[in-house]
Amino acid sequence: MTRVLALAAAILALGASFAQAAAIVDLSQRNISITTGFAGGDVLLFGAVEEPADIVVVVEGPAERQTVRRKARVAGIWLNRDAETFVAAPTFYHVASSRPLADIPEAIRHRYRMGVDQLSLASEQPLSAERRAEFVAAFVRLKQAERLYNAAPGKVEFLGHRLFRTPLALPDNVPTGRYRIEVFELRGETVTQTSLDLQIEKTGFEARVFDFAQSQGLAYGLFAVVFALMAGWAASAVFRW
Amino acid sequence: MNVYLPIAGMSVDPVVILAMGAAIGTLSGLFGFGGGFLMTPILIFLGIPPAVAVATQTNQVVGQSVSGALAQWRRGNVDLTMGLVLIFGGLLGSLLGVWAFTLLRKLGQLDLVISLGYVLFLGAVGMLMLVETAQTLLSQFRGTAVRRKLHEHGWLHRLPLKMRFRRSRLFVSALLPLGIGVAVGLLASVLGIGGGFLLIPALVYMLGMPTAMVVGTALLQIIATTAFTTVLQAATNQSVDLVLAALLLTGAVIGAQFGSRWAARLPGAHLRGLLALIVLGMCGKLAYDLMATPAELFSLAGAG
Repeated sequence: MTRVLALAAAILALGASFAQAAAIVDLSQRNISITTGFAGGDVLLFGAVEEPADIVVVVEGPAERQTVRRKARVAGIWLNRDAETFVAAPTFYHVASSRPLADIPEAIRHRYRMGVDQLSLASEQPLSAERRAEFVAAFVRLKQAERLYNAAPGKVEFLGHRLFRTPLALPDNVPTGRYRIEVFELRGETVTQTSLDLQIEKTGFEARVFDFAQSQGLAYGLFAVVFALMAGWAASAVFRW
Repeated sequence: MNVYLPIAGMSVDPVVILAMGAAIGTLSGLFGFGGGFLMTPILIFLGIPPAVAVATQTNQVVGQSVSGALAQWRRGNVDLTMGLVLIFGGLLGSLLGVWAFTLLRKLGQLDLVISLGYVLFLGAVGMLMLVETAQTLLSQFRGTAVRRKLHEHGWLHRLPLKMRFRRSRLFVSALLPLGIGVAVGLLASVLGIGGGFLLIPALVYMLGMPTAMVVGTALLQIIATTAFTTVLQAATNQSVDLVLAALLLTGAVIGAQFGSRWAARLPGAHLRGLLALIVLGMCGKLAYDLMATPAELFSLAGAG
């Protein structure tokens, strides 16, 4: 924490020498490693502005094809009946602001995708407005239930008029990849944008197991079988002795 | 402390998994079954994606069957000819099962088929165990043993392709063990069950195999079939989680050792009755989940 504040103070001093520069921002960590004990992580985004402004932070995980299925009752049993696919939906989405999002003009929110209601989710098949609304709402709801989209916008806190910070909580099921973080500085109708990257990856033993399984499935399967045979044999040997 | 499961993509409390493995291992040691049919639904209840639960459980069964198979092999209680025919059937069933598994996953109906399969399987197993318990208790009460016909000659024995199985002193159609093998392979690949529950009664009552040979031969086939299924699942669906398998195996092999030691000292019939009720309870829960109106009609197509 002291390191963060010292860094922030340094940034502030630096920022003061460049008039009218965009906000200066950084993260407490640029890389998140998912290892054996990973149970979620916290990242702190902090920064400084030249002049008082409102800050909106948008974090998006890598975009992927994602399918939403809907159940219907068939012969007394609930089963998946229809589905819609979004071609490039963010796997993770987080928004935080210093002022309630509702107070920000709709045009700006729409343009910069501020808030889960502003995501541009392109569907694979053309959809009627009604069906689209239904599936988009369900998609966002499910993502929120998985803690991958934030249920309520987070808060960007100001320390004085220039220093700001906001926490970003990553759940244990956070998808891996390159995260894009956009920091928007709002002064009336003018928006200044600063971008950052956050890299989340599996490292160490977990990463090796995962890569092995993905890239060499056959060898992985053989390894799994040999491992199980050895474990079973070892156990019986130990207990016989 | 939590452990992150790389394939399931989530973290779990290792103590819970170890304890589950140990509990089911103990039951399997007590009653002499693999325990996959209990473990897979429990893993699904714990939130492990069904595809990962099934494939990983298959790998677990491989390890758990080894010690039993070794012991039977040393005593010479394995009919290798019969085993090979059963294994051949098992491999066919497994190929078919993994193909269906992959297709169902793509169609988004895998979870449904796994649930339905378990409702049927657990329901049948639970009822059978309950009936058996009732019969045992009744005969204990009356002081007589329940007698069954040893060997029946029906249409099963008129099938073509007769083959001689010397060790079991049988001359039956090879289609019979082949068919049984296919069924076991299907169960292993779609439900993650070793199949002992189906295999052992089938060998005894359908084929009329001598009881001494049954367990060893069944274990040989179960190991070969589950090993083959594990490799196929890993190669096509990448759904075998080594970390989860290691946790399950550790718990299960230790539990099984204690279970088999306690087997002689505990009131078997009562325990079996209790287990039957647990199995029926799990069946009821799965059936209820299929029929009750879900709180959320939508779902994301993910690892499951």
